[in-house]
Amino acid sequence: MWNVKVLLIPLMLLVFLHPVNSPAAASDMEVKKDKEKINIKDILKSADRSRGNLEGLAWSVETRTAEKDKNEQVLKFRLLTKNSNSLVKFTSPSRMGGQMMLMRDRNMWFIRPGLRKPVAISPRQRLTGAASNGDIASTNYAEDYDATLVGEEVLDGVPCYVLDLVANSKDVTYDKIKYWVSKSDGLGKHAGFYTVSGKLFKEASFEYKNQIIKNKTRIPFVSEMVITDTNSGTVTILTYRDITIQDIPNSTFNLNLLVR
Amino acid sequence: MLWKSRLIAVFYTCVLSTYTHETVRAEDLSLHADIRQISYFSWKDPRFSTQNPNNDFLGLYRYQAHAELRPDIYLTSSRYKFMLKPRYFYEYNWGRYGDATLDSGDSRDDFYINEALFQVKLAPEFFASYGRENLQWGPSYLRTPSNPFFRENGRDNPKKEVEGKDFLRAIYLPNEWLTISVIGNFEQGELRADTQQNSAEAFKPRHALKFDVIGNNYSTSLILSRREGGNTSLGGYLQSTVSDALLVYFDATLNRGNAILYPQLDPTNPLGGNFERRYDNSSEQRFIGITGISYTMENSATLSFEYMYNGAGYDDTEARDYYYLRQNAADNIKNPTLGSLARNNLASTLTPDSILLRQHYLFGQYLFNEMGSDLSYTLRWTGNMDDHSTQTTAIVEYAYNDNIQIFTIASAYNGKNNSEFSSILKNEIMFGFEYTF
Repeated sequence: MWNVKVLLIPLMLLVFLHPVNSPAAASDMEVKKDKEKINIKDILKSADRSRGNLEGLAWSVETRTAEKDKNEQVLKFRLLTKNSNSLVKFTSPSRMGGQMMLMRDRNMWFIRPGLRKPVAISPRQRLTGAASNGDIASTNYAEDYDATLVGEEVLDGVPCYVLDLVANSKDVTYDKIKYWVSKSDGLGKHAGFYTVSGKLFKEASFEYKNQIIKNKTRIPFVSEMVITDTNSGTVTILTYRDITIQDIPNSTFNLNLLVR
Repeated sequence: MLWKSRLIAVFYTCVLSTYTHETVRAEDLSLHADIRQISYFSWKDPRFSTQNPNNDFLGLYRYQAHAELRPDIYLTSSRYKFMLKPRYFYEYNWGRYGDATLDSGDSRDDFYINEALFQVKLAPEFFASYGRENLQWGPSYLRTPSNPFFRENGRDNPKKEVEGKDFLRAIYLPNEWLTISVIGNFEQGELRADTQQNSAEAFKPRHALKFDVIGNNYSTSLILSRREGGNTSLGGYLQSTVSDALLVYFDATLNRGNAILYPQLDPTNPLGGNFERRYDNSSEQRFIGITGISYTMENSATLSFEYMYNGAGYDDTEARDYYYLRQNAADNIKNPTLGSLARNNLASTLTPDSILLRQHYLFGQYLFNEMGSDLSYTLRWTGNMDDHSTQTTAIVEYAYNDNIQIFTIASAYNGKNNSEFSSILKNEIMFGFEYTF
């Protein structure tokens, strides 16, 4: 017979080692020192909210990629998201019917019909054109990055804060981001993505023609994201439609329950 | 005629599926279907080894034309989910070689339910399901040691489905990061006409208790299982997203008793011995584990490497005995008195019910599979480090348009005659297309 201790100890270790969000024990001095930082964090929270970081959202995404000497690639999928979890169900082209991508924080799996074993994939893996898997997940820049206000600029006639974001953990898609956030409505307008060495390799700009209503408040929501690979010049346009706030159960993002 | 009724069943399934191809919603209920038709031609270059002397044992054909209909039908509501995957295939084989030459070809067809599942949400955190499933998990490519239900994980050939088995599952989600599953495998499922030769062992029910924990950048599982009769296992896997591009993973099991066939020399046996499930229901413990790494490059291609230690595989002595008995069986396959016994031994050598034959394996893979891209390709290499035989496979898939995908899968098997990967074929090429309605 198996020794019960041998079976239970690894499980208990897993349970106790699981990271738990403990309240930050910041001193008053730190709070004062970081007063500007707290405001920046609020700006980022506002920008994150309009890029999907909410409890329970469903929307449709169409991606169009134009590459040199290639036909335009069009990809459509339905995205269910709740906090940092997302389920992508591909709907077009027909040959991708039944394919899915599940994202649980930084864990990602690709599921394809006929191949029941999910394939573990990385956030870096390209979804299509200039868009990587990490690009379609909701953003949580407020928590994932340390932000510094480096100036103000007018971008396409819109006064913006210019923020330098540096990843505060390895668990993010980009190490450094330069982020232009509108001063008037707190929406992220443009982003430049940099390698650790400081080389710009991707840019993205955002539009917010969609709206969602949460707690009787109208919140502008991203309607288009244009991603440009600065090396190859590949441009991918992500268009967001049919956005609905839904009570999505946690079980939706459970690999054991995914009927596929 | 049986085949006519099968065709009619598939026809009606497809008609129903066509009408429901666009998701139909009635309040909480939605019906959706994906229908695929896969056709391919395959060519096999045989190897005359002691496993299949002059093709007398396997009776393989050089050429095969295969057509298959695969409708996947889903009926879902917020509380219930129903999934049905009926299958129908027709294939024509010709060009039999060796002593088993036939003047004409041979055809066969089969209609079967590969998967059918009913899942119900009994409470927000408690689910139950019953049905036929191909239940797969874990991050590894080569094999999945922690899965006590399936030896194959379907990664060898993405165009061939693994047959489902009948499961009853109860799943409890006490919180967002822990899942507890009780799994009962009560029936074998339905074996396809083209793989029935692989059912070497009588089915025995198996049950498992599975704990899944998921964290911010890792996913892990612990699986305790017991097969009716006494064989037990403690398995698990861990995958970690170390960085944006790097995954590291482990998949392992410790088996107490196993149902693997081992060679047993016996001087009184006219064939020199036979094969026995030496450790069935015994306290013998064997460890099987895979460790792997997967790195996504800037161009989105992924490189994966794995090492597998198969403690239940044959050591050098057992391998020597295995090939000795296989040689004796091959020499006597046409013997009027010993032929039947020889075929039994060759059936055992073909499928000794081990995850792989020997103990040490290396695996490497280069995969380019951008989801929106027209072209995806995989180059895969598996090496048996004990007998130095290798299997190299290239898979290329090209989307001709939104509905048609053209594919080719080519495999080369290298090694001595008495080695694992070079026992049946030298080369194999599959070329075909997949049409999605």
